[in-house]
Amino acid sequence: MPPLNIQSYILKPFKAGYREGITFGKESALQEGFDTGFAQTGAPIGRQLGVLRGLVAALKVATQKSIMFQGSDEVSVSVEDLQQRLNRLGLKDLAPRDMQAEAHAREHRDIEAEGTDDALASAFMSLDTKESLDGKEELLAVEREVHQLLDKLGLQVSWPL
Amino acid sequence: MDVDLGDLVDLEQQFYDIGYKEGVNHGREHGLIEGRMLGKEKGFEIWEELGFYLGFAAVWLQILRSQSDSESRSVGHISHLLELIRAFPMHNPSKDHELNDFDIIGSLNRIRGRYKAVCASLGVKPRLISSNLQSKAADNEAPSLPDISQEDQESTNKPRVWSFMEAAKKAGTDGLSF
Repeated sequence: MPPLNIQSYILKPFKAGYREGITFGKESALQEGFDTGFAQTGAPIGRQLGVLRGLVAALKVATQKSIMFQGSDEVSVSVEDLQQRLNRLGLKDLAPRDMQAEAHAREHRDIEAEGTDDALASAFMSLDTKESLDGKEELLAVEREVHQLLDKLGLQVSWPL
Repeated sequence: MDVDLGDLVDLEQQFYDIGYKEGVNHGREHGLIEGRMLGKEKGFEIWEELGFYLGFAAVWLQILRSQSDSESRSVGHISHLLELIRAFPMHNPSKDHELNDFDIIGSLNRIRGRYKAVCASLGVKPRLISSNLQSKAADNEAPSLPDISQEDQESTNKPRVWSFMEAAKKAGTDGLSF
């Protein structure tokens, strides 16, 4: 009778199964995650920022071409300021933190601390966890100012677009 | 104690199955996280561009109307542009039966073409269209009415639905794969 070897009858098959399972599980969930991120975060945030950039860009061209608001330096200055502030904002400033990803990264870090080899922990630690509150507040502030400017110029852009 | 070799093979299989099940759960979590990151970026990229056209067109429509120029060619182009953008989905239409046949790339191209037509009729330089540029520029300097317009070359043979694989190829593996 061969000695019952834990290594070959338990750990090895367990690890082999785990590896196969992880690959399958990951691949089968990628598209679902993609669709979620697209619809819940990327598209609405991109749209909000893009609309404001478009509104401001149109105002800028209109002032430059002197089609409207002739001689109004005040308008040009606010348009310039708003455009620069919008250009400083990006997805990273506006997207909410992915709490599930961060929690999972912490789990990996804890496992790693116990000596399990896992390169994922460090990859997850590099996830962007920048506090996004400032960016969102700035976007809302710009949005208010853009609306005020449109009102002032008598442009009744129906909102929301 | 008698140990049947068959039992041992079965034992191996049992632990393989247990490992597999746990692996699937863990892998699923990673797939969701990684997919979300890529979907977020793609959705942002596309809708930042469309949002820009939307805002741009909305202001010009009002300007033209205020100049009682509402019969002009520009107004027609703008109305059509707004219509096209409003029909564009805010989510990936892959699972949406009503939108299953929605031609994303075709629609995107029509929108870009219509936007350029709007700009031409207004005598305005169009914003540079480059998805790569936009996603990279988001952090430092977003494109603001640059001088040259550029044809989007890559759009001819893309699939109609945004697939994760395509986005992953573009973004690289990001250091998150196993």
